Amino acid sequence: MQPPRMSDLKRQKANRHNAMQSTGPRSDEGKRRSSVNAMRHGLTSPLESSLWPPLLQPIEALLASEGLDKSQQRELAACILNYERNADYQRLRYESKVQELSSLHLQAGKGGAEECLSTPVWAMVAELRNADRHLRRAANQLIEECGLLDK
Amino acid sequence: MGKVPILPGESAEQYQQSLDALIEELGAKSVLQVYLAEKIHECLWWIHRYEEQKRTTIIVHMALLASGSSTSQVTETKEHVRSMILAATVDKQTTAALRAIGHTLESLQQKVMVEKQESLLQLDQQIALQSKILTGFQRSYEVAFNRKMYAERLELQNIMMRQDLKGIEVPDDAASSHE
Repeated sequence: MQPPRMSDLKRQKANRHNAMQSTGPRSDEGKRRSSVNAMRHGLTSPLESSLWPPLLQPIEALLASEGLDKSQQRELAACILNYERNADYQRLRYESKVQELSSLHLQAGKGGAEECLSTPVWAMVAELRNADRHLRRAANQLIEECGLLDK
Repeated sequence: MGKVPILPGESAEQYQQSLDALIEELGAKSVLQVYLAEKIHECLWWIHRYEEQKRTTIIVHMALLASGSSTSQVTETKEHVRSMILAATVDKQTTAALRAIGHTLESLQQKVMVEKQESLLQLDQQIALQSKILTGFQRSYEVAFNRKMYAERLELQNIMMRQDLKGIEVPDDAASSHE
């Protein structure tokens, strides 16, 4: 026998009550992890909140030999890092997809379905295309910044 | 950035060799010049990678079409045809087998190119993106190179000017005796 159905209002109240009892993550690690729940690739997040900032100063120091002023060094170093972040992401995605494909090919070689061999390459590339516009933007910023050095 | 951006199956040595050759050819010396030369090389490497992928896509699918579908029994001839096409070589047996399915090597290639049009187009788009970035980096390199050259020319002019000035410099003792 099915339990009697709650009215919408009652259901709404119960939901709200249950939600209020939920406290979410408690530990620092849990909070840190849930803070990036919605993150897809992090390519649009500010550079400062990524793993790359520790490299900023060494790059700035290297660029000092170029005869740039401090602000130019900082701007160019940030553009370089942003481009590297995007290029790195693209490389990693491509690498994981290549590995996926080669394992499929291996299966096919061991007598698995031949369709594995015909896995559409474009499906692999399609995933990269989403990151393409970020890479293009990062490259344009870096190229623009280099162009400013001439002025 | 200190690491060699190669993928499994690619040769790190080959990458480094071609990068060194490019740096030498471009005459990159400063930090920025070397960095931009590296990026130019990276774009060229990606383009090469995608071109290779296009070639593999065509060959693998040609081999599949030539050796029949997964449902049919794999015979020795089919296996031979497949391995010949994968190795990008054609012998009499392969030609005969292709003729039996109503194809020549060229017609089979054309069929694959039509069937895999979408994949190939996507790869072409990736190549176009890398080419665009490559052009930008080449432009940036020119800027960095000319800038360095301009700075060096200025430095040289300054040295020459200092040398010229030395010629007309008033010696200290002459200056003091004048007083």
